Amino acid sequence: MTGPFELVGDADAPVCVDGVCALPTDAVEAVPAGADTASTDDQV
Amino acid sequence: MTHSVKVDVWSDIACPWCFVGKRRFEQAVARFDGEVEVEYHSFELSPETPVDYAGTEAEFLAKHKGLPTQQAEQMLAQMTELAAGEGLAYDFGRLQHANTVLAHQALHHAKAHGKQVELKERLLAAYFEQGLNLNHAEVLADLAAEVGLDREALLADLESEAHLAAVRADQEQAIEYGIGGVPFYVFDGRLAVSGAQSPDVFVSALERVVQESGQPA
Repeated sequence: MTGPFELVGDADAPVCVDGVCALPTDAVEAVPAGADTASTDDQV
Repeated sequence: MTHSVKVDVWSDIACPWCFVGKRRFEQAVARFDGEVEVEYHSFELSPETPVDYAGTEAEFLAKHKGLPTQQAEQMLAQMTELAAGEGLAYDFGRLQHANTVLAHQALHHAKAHGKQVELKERLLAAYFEQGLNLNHAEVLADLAAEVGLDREALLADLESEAHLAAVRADQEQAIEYGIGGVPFYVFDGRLAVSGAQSPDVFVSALERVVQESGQPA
């Protein structure tokens, strides 16, 4: 995170990134919990 | 005096955590002693998603992650259960994959007409709970009309790509800020929360912004 703000809370909360979302059984992947991330590929 | 906090949210309507996060954030807003203004910003999770992908969600996930389809189905089942805990009725069996660039343009149209929050909710429900095909302008226009927008005006804006530059500007700002995943929340431009975190985290961020802004209690 390089934005002009302070990141608070759990840095590993679920997100979606690059078209892939951290799903409940997806703990082995280094995708933060609770979020989805963007990619140039497909998405969940 | 009523406290007021502006929250900018980067998200995608094809992001299951964004809907879960929306519900958790709404719980926080209900507990917060003040007013919260929300503005949604565009974040395309998968801009290369084909329009009208023909496979199932489990097949799509299996292909993307290199997993057996059965394992993908189990993951989606658990996501469905988690969402149910937030009062959401995810139905991945009906979900129709969408390239979300049109939906993002619709949301900018809605923002220009004071209905962005309403349309955001409607599109998320249509995608995850009702299996509507959000690849197409006509479907988006129907949903926009449901929240009080002018159906024909939206179709005209989508046809002319009137809001595409705004979508791209949001995406460029996300890159500038280093936002790699969604949902992503920025509170008064000073504090940020990444992911579908607990209502407690959101409440804490709202209260801290007020305290640090010097707004009278």
